[in-house]
Amino acid sequence: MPTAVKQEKEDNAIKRSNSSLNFKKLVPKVLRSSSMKNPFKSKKPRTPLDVVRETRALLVYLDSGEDAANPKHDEKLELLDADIRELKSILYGIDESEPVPEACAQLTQEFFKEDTMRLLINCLPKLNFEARKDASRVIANLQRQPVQSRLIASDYLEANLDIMDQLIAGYEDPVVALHYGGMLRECIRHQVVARYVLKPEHVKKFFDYIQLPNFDVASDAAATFKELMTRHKSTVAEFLAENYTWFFAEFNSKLLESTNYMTRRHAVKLLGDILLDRSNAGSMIRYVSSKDNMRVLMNLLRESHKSIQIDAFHVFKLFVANQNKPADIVNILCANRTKLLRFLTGFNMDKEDEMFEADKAQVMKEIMELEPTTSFSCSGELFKPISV
Amino acid sequence: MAMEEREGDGPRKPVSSSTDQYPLDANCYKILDEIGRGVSAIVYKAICIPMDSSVVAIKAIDLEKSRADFDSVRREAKTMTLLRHPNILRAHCSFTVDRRLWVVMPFMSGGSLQSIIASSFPEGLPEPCIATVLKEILSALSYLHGQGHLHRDIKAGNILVDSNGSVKLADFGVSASIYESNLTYGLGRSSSSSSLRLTDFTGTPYWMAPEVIHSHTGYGFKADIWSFGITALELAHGRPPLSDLPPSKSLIMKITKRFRFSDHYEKSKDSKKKRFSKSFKDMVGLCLDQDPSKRPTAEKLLKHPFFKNCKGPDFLVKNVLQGLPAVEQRFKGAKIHSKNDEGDEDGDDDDESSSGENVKQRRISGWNFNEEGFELDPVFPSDHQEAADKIGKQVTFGGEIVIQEKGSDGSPQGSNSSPGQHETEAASTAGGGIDMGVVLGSLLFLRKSLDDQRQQVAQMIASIGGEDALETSREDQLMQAIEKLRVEVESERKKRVAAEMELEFLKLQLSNEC
Repeated sequence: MPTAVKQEKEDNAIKRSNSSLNFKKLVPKVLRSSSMKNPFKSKKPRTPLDVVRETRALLVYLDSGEDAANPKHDEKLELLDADIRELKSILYGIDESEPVPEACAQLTQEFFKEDTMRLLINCLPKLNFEARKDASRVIANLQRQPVQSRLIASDYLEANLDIMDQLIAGYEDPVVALHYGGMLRECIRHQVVARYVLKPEHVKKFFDYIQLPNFDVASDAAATFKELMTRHKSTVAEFLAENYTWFFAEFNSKLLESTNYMTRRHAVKLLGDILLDRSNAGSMIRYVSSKDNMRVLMNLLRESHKSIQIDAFHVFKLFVANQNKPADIVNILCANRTKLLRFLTGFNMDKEDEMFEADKAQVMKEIMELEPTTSFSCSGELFKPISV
Repeated sequence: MAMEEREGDGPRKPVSSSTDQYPLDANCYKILDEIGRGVSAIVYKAICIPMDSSVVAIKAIDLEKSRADFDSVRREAKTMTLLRHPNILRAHCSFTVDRRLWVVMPFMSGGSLQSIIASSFPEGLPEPCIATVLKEILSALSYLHGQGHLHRDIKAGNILVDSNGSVKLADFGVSASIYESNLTYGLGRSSSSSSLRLTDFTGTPYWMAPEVIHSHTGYGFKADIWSFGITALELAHGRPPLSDLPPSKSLIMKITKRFRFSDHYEKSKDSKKKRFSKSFKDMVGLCLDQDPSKRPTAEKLLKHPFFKNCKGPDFLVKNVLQGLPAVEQRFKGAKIHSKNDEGDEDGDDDDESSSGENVKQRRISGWNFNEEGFELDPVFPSDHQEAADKIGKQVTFGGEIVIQEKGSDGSPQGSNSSPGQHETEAASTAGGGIDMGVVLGSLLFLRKSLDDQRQQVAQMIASIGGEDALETSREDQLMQAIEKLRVEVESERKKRVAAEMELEFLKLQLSNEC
């Protein structure tokens, strides 16, 4: 999409080689750039308000399910494409020109004055391939646009939280999955939205989505899940406290013990991020006091995949560092002392990492100094020899 | 698609989408041959059994080797799903097979332009073919940039040709999008994630030029244009300006080859200069402007006279593809090399016999599997930092301009004078336009990265030595010892050249100030 600014710069750059450009300079640039792809658009410059209003009108038409045989249908779709593209240009700027804050604010205000966001999301599958991407970007961007230093997108979504249901379910449809996924990640930047999405019925869906066979969809869902579980500290802490039992049980069995390499790798990294966050200290203490959880992590330590081992170590160290270790954990660690120490000695990063070395030394020291608490407890051979 | 479906053995049913027809199950594919290999990925030719055994290419990316940044893998997959252009290679689908990500793509039977040149056009392609190919690539770039994406790895090795002469840009492994959350952050992250392709060794010190950090979108797009210009030179000469030496077993051989190469380049330079049209040189000159803002955009460049009267795909079929060995065959010729690069486990040495043809292929493939830029510059053959690479290219370009347009200043390229000296002089003549702080920074960084690389080479040699210990003869051990020393010498030499260059710049700076 050429703009005046861009063209001017390039004109200078290419002047030596192309003299025909001089002619172009005589033609008003606005005319050239706007009449290129959209012959229907009027030549008088439109305000952001005009563009939003026209977009909305066209979306209403499209959403009404007017049948595609209508001769005007394609024409309207093209107009809509152009409008959405223009919205994107206003919000992101074009090439080297920065967006104008006032224009963005006007656009945002008008956009959220009515239900345009819902309409656009509804109609997304009906849009042309390129327009879908533009639409996703517009919606993503609008989440961050301040209007008089307020994020009005947040207010809008608070009143329309059901839109999130639609976005979440998008992961089930490959046509819209990546678009809805991108929007969803932006929307959960609003705490009020994150609080809504952080409900058992939604979170359970993510356990499934991140294991979808389609890599691009699954990894997008994993990125969203991570955002959900790490961005809003207090909300997450609250969620974990209320849902501790089923959440970590499923997290262990569905994700950490999954047969899918990707799932395990995402999960163990995320687990570390969650438990190591101070705001989740309560859940962390609970988690590292369970010998079943420790068994899961010790199995991950035995993986042949180094990246999983490393992230597993960062969780495992919490079990050892816990100053109030339950007796059964102490006993398992004691019973496996020799093997653990042998393993840890040979367990190194490819690159030197002082933090890691310090952690490792601390863990080894703790294990060495442990005393079995009760004599009758018998742990069994959980930790088989490891070859590194 | 629900989870339960994953267990099914048969092909997955297409889910209301025309793009997802290819099954997401490894059992539906039969691998025929290996056709390419990089640091963390192998490319196979395969057939998709349920799709009438149609031929596909499968890029198997080792996720374990791209340890540092998973997000970049996700972004690459997303990019490939969401781009649609006749000159951009799309993925049919992607799914994981244990620790490997399989990206299923259309099979481009002509292979990469790099391999075509290596096998049939060692002196470079004829100009009309170059124009035809480059126009297609520009069209892809124009679309890509319009979408807010940077490719960041434009080179002949990433330009694929199909049997019908269609040309596609491939490999979005290090691409970036300006629409990722926050521009600076996005660029920074995805740049550091270039470890995915550029090196195995994650966590190498990452360094970025100030203008990359502080720039907005303009910089990145113009960096692609620069690479496009280098690619034009690559197609014209049969190789980029100067080739690189990756650490490998055949290092000794390649050192000699490279010098012969330089001689060759010097000798044929004059005849080559005449071979190219003025509009071609002008076009390349525009792309290789030191000042990014003066380089034209892809869209603008498409209107350059060089691209008038371009031929169609049939022209490429007739003039480029005819008589070309199959892509599998070409790959096998260059295979040893890649194995050595990787320090890979099995060294089946049956190709090791150095028939004349083999040597030729190996020589040219010196930069084939060496990811990204430094093939252009023997002074800094560090292949794993993109930002430094950019600077490297800029500095080197001074040399290239001299060679291309004004003729060389004639410093002898005998086997005991390093080509680096030539570079030094050339670069110092172009030094006026370069930000000294940036150059100094990059030199310091390069020194660090050279040290790192030296360590890695030492490790690699150690590990090869370790694995082969039982089988290697005394002679081999001695050879390895010699190579080790060679590597050290080479690295010292590089350091010296880098230091010399630094000195040159300082001198120049001084004289400017006086």
